[in-house]
Order: sequence, then structure tokens, then C-alpha cells
Amino acid sequence: MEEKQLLKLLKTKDEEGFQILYRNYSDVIYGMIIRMLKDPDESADMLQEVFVRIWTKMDSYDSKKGRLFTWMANLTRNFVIDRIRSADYKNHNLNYFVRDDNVGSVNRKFNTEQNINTIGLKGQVNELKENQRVLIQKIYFEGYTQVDLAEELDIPLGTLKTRVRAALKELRKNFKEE
Amino acid sequence: MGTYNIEDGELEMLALGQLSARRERELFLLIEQNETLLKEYEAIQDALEKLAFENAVESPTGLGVAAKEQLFNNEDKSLKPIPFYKTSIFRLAASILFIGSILANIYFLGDTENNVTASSEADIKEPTRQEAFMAALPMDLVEFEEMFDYLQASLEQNPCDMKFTITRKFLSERGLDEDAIVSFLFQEGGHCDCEVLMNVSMQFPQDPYKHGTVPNKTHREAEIKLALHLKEDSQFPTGTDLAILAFRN
Repeated sequence: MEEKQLLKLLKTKDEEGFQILYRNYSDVIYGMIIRMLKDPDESADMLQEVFVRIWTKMDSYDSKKGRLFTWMANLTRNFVIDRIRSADYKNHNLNYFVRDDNVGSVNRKFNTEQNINTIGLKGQVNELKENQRVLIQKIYFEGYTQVDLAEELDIPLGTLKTRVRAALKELRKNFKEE
Repeated sequence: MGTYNIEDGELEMLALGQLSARRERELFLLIEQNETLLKEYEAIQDALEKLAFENAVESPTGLGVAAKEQLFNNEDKSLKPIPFYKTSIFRLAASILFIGSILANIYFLGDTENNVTASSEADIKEPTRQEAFMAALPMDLVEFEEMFDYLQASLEQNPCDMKFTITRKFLSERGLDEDAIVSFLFQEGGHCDCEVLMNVSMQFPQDPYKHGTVPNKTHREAEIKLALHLKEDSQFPTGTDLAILAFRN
């Protein structure tokens, strides 16, 4: 089903629309969540919550401002980050921190190694240079903000943007060559 | 109107959801007006979507159903609805009983109920108020009767001075608690000697009129004299006084 048809169903709150949406995107969204939370049980709960949220927020989606998946991915990332930052989550799940506002308090080197070793990235991203791959991994899959990542890498924000742009250009080139 | 510039890497950051809401709006304005930017933005989104799909992880089964049930509150499909015809006999019986009970209520209770209710309310309210009055009396009933006689006799001689002079004199002579009793009389509508006589005395239970109980001529003359006293004094609601007299006569 094309995205336009799916959107029609979603906008009318059609139950079938939800089924298609879930069937098409649940694995992709789960892939993002589990890389941020690192815990399958937490991630499963979160996946359900995220889809409920996507459904209830569907009215705020504007196709002029990007693709449905872009909107869903950003909504998912923000939702998971909010959960990670919440006091409840910090209290009972400190070991699974991916990142924290208090950047210095987290053993980032350990986290980075854990992230890569635990749930590695697949596909074209692995064709990128190591530093580019880490950038994409952290900012796209692990929920880093550009400010936090620039701080961690100790580079200016402008430099970070340029590097992310270069990484994505390379990635686009790789996908084209596929 | 201001112009917006786009920095290197900002389109990528937009697709990654890394920009502020304000900056997002500015960039969307630029993208809408510039086809090259739109194509570039599309290509970035396309790459990110492919990247995400390549890194999909199989989600646990059953979550979609749970989410769907949470959203649509699906009923248990195993509970099939009972066909209408199978319950129609019960519906009919219930309807007949319901209508029958309404008709019975109308027939048996109807107006009688209203009358009973209305009279009951009157019966209940009136004795309750009078009972409260009688229960709160600060002295014996006999003393009240004597006080009213004393007031009447005194007011026939001298007009009311708008105080409790005669009342207090009577209470003092009997060694009763002047302040407490005067306070009670005041609350019950007796704001001076004559009002004690006319208003408070009316609150005691009155014997029903019987043939031959019309006051004798002397008594009537005394009351009229009192009423004229009050009228002359012109500081009292003479209408009330006269109404009381008319009622008594």
C-alpha cells in the first residue's frame, strides 16, 4: 500500500490503517528503540506505547513537513529520550543508560563499546568510515542530541553538522550504488 | 519579511529531528519555496529510512494486538451477541410489567398521594415550629399567662413606652431571669411591652373557637382601648394590631 493510501486510513482513524502501520513499521521502530534502551522487555513495552502515541498524535502529522517515517522516527526518539530522562526510569534502570544530560557522569567509552557490541548496525552504514559510522549510530540510533554529541566529541556544533552531512552524503551514495 | 539562510548540515539535522521548532518552521518555509532543497531533503529522508529498515529488529509478537486492543477497546470475539428474537419474550414481559406498574401507581396513588403529601408537610412543619417554641419557653406556661394579663392590665392604664418596662417589672417581681426571658421574647417578635402582649402571646396554641366563646363586651372594649392606645402612639404596625383584634372578635 502506498503511503498516501495509508495516510488516508490513518487520518480517518481506521483500524485497518493501524494494522498496516504496525505491520510495516513495528520492526523498524523496535530496532531504534532497542538500540536506545538496550533492554528487550523495556523496549517491548515502549514499542507498544510508541505506537499508541503515534496513533493518537496522527492528527498533528503534516505531510508537507516530511515523510511519515521521518515523523514517526523523530517522535519515537523524543519519546524514548523523555522516558530515559524521567526520574522513574533513572531510579530503576540506571545500568541501561545510553546517555544522560549530565554528560560527564556517564562512562561513555564503556557505553559506546557496549552499544556496538550489543546490537551492531547492519547494512550500508558499515561501509562508512569508522568515525562517520559512530556519528550516525549515536545521533540516529542512540538518541544523542547534536549539542551533547558535539560536547562529547569535543568539536564545535558547526563541525558536527558538517560531519553528519558528509556521513549522510556518503551513505546516500552507497545506497545509490546498491 | 526576513530572509533565512541555511547552514551546512542543517537539512540533515532537520531530518534527524535535531532542530528547534522555530528553526524547523524557518527551514520548512525555505524548502517549500525551493525545489532543489526539497529534492535534497527528500533524498536525506530516503537514506535515513533505508538505514532504519536495514537495521530493523524483529519485534515481539502480540504487541500489535495489545496496542490495537488498547486503542480500539476490542471486545472478546468469543462472546457472540445473543440474537434479538431469543430475548424478545423477556423484553415483552418486562415491558408489560413496567407499564402495569406505572398504571397501578397512577390509579392507586395519583391524587391521594399528593394530598397526603401536602397535608403531611403542613402537619409536620406547623407542629414542629410550635413544638420548638414551646420547648424553648424560659418560664412556666402559667407565668406567661399571668404576664400577658399583667401587661394587658398595665397597658390599659398607660401606653407602651417602646421598652420592656412592664415586662421587666413583672419578671423582677417574680424573681425570674429578666435578661434571658426578655431575650427570648425579643426573638419571638416581642420588641417592647405591647409587642410581647400581641405577638408572643399569639404563638401559644390557641383553643379552637366554639360557639359562645366570643369575648364579652367588657373584654372587647378593653382590647379596642388598647388598640387605640397603640394607634395614637403611631409607632406600631397598627394594621397588625387591628387584625389581631378583628381575629379575636
